[in-house]
Amino acid sequence: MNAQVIYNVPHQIAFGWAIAMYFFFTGLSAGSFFISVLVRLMGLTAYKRLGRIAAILAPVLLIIAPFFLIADLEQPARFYRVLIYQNPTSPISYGSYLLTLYPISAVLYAYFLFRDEIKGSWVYKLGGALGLNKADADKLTYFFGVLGIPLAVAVHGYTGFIVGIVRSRELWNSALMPVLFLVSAMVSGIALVILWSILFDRQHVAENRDLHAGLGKVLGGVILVDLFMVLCDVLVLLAGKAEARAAVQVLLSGSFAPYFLGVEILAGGILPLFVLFNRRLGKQIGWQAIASLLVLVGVLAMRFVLVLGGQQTPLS
Amino acid sequence: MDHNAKPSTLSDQSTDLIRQVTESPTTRAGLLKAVGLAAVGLAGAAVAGKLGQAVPALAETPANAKTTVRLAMVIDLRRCIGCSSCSVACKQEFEVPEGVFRSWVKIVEKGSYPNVRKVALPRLCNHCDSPACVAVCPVQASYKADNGAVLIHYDKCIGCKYCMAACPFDARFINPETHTADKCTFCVHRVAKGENPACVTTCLAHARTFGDLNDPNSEVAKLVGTQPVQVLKKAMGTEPQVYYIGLDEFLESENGKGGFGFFGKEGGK
Repeated sequence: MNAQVIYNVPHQIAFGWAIAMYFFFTGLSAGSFFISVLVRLMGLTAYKRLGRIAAILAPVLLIIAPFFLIADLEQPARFYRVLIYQNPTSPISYGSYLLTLYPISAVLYAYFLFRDEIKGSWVYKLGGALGLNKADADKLTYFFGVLGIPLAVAVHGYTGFIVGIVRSRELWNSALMPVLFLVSAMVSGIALVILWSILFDRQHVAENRDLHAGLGKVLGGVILVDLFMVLCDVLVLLAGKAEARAAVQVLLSGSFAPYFLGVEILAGGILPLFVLFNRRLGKQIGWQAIASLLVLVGVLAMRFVLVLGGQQTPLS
Repeated sequence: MDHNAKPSTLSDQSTDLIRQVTESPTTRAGLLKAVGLAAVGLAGAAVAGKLGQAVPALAETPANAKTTVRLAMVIDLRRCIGCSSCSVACKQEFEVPEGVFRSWVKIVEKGSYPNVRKVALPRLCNHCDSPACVAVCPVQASYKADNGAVLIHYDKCIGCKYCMAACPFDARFINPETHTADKCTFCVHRVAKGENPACVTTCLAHARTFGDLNDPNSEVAKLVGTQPVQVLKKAMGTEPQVYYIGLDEFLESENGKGGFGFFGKEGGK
């Protein structure tokens, strides 16, 4: 291979850190929402308290997320145009409608979940003014919970399509992407709920250690699925075209290897697995907190590795 | 070559002119007649005449047929000397800001001492027939113009950079002055005046040929029809309209043992 590029012009990287952060926040939101609704639909009364935390986190995180997107635009003042003009082949186009609908549904879900407990507050009065206080709260919680699941799948799944349909980038162009995004969303969502409850609901956690250890094992299970999918992705890329192999080498031995192998896989996947499935450590609140934090850092690293690492191999 | 192929024109100006002087070519003879008449008319217009290669298409359309122009470029790598004057001409034409390029030349050294050769690959937007950038633009800012050029409505672009991520050829960039996506336009403002793009006009090796692929008499149509032309990354299926002569040799390594990475190694940014 006796050829060497001796001159070429630099090319800008299209998607930067803000896009990675946006993926991270929509993932956290979708993951939290799944937990909250699953707890309710499956009648897991023991986890009700965690489900309530998740119900609040989901809309809050998703209201934060689009600000990263808008901040990343070169013309932020023109952001509203994504809702005016449509292009059915562009995930950013249809995704912007999902990004509008899902938070509304998630806010309504949380409102009806808490409505009967917040009587007298300004939120309740606001809800009354909007005509939300007449109907049966239980039924509407159920309704918006069930409606929210496909919306949450869509709102995070579509972010997977944003990268998945880009055929020029070998690391992105995979049907695994939307599914991988959803699985990693579950991972980060569960980790966030565990960490949040340990930090801000300490007494309840202390009284229900077994409950938390159980959730930790669920987290471990989802991490295993996530790691398996990443393994499949890497193995197929390694057997792929020259460009695919070059793209995956960026993660395995190139500039992103420390973030991929070190942070995403080892610190964010394998180490937490040892803690969560360990009979002794898995029940200790401190270790659970450390494991969840590592998992969150790992998923954040995954977003950065995919978005930035996926653009490292030059196209021209 | 099929003389009943859809007739076409290069610029609106010439279209109007041709309409006045030609009749519908339903037969081969009719077409030739139309071509001849149109050529006379155009010589009078003295617009296209002074630019040898940019002769517009010359036949009138049947009354109800759509006039189609398919702009294309052929770059003969055997002629390119890697002087980068195309890049300079492009910079001047559009006052392209520092650090970004609508047109550029990649230079590669091939072989090992003492058999070393320097080869050049001039680059620009491929103006694909099936453009990946247009497919992903969420606000219809990127579009495929009727004449085949892939263009941007700069006032519509929100700067989401999705087109940059999707383009398999790194043709797009964010203009640091206008803060929208930007790229080569095939110099459509010059084409409208019957002129060649700036890079074509300036190419001192005559490596570049520009014109209407739908016009069987155009230089590009002849080159594409008779020469072994290739396009970049054909497998991407975007159907580039910038054709290269000698690209296969450029992509091959000197010893013939497989191609070298056109895509380069990591760190090329």
